[in-house]
Amino acid sequence: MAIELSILQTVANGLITGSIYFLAAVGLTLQYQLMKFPNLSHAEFFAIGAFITYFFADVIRIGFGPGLALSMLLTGALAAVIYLTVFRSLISRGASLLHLIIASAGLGVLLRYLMWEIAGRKSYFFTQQFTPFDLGPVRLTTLWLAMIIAAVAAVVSIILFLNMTRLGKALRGLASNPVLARLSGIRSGTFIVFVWMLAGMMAALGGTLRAADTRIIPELGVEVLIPMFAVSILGGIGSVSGAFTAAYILGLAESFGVVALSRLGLSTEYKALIAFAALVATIIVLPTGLSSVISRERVRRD
Amino acid sequence: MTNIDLFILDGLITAGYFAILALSLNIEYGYSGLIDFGKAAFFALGAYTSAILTTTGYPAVIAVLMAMAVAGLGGLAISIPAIRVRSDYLAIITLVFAETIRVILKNESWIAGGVLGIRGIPPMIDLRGISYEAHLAGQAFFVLILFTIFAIVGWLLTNSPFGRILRAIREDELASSVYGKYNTAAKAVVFGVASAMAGAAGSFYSQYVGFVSPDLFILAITLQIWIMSILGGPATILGGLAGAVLVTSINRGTRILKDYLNLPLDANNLMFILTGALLVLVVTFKPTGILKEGRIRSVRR
Repeated sequence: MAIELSILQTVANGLITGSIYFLAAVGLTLQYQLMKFPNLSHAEFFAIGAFITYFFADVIRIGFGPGLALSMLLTGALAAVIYLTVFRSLISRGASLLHLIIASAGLGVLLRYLMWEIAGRKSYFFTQQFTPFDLGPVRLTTLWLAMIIAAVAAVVSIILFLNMTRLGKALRGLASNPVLARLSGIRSGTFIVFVWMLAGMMAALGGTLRAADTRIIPELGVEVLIPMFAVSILGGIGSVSGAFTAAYILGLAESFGVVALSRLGLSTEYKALIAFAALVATIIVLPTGLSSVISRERVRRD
Repeated sequence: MTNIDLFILDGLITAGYFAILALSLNIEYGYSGLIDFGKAAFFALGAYTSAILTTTGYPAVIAVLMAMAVAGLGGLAISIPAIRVRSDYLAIITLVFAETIRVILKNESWIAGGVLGIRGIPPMIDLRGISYEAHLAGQAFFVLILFTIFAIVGWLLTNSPFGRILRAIREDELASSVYGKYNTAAKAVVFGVASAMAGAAGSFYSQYVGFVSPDLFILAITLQIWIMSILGGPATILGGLAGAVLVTSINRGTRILKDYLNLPLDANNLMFILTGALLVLVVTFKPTGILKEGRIRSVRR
């Protein structure tokens, strides 16, 4: 059964998907640059954030908005605590790249099956309803609009923060040259905790919005794992504007890809292949990502 | 034999197949320094290739050979983009490849059975005619022979001149290339051989358990193979066996605990929660493993 969509609707769908991918990937890409290892457990915070929002919004019933705000704070705090308890001690013990990746993967599995154990094998839904409306020929809901607004607000505030504030400048210094930054009196520990917190908050925001659009299950994060890495690497690790661009490129590629797949009579689950292909192509053709093209500077690889 | 004895014997047989997988990871990571997070994918390629062939009437030997060929070629194919890049990218590419393979297997209901997988795979060695105990004992003996063969292959490979190139690449890629060694080609061969080995393990394992499904090949399984490798000692031949027995004991232990203590937990969840916790604890407190790397013993010519 082929899905017939207008081109504008397909573009809108791509922007919606791209917004979620950006919120999922922005924390990962900042963490990756600062820590020098890919945090495979990051996807789980996407689902944890959705569950925490559900707890406040639909179990304690304090409303969707306040629940989301609380969830962002708590998920951010959880990410920071996990850095302080697990990864800081690993790094101080001189763990290798492999050991850090393995620990993050192990942590991811631990968190995901804890969610399965607590939530059980059923899907949860928010009671909050979002009204659909038409914008010209395009059908939207307030939720989809919220996703795009959230992504744009996030990218603007993070870029302003990194470029305008002392804290943000210190953070960029720390990411590009840790030794020099430390010599200049920047206390690295505080900043790393801050980035983990930011990553947790963005994941909670993205996860809650995606869950409101679909359902809340522990696999919510794993569903965006491949796009998340594709966006981080295509955008250029550590580049917020790169991740933003890459997220929408991938979102649009998927929404047009889904139309193509359904016309060809193939399962739309194969859209996962689009992110996979984008990831592999980037690593072969442009391993430093879009940011190296945008800023026209060669990024030194170590 | 009591039920619990059979359960333990079945656990040991499973450990044997996983020991072959851990050995293949040791050849990749322990000896060559290649970080492969897609082990489950090559295991799956072998298991599915073999399952499709055996259930459509091909002899088991052909199924094993084809499983090795498909998994080995898969390994070579993914090595083309993967091995020229930094090791964190290699980890990501292999991980993402494995997730992609699983998505395909889950969706291809016409050839791979979709979510349900493929059932009714005939056992390679069938002693059920005598008794179930004899059948399991035969399987245990068979997997022991298989592991011995693969261990000998692994030993010869890693102690050959080629094995010395691998260790040189692991220690210092630049130095190895300065001495005129073809790093990229050597890494591609390692990836191909280790993936073929994982494919063989997949084929034999599928013929032992009698079914394949996408759930057998999730990332958590790859991670369990990693624990086996790290716990046992990455740059060893027999370390994987020690690790496999340990991890399988923990897996089976959680199920015994669940059944005998009536824990209010799901055994599968508990197993993977422990897997995750164990990974974090192992890399924090025991990152070097039980067995240590031995000296290179050159094969006499």
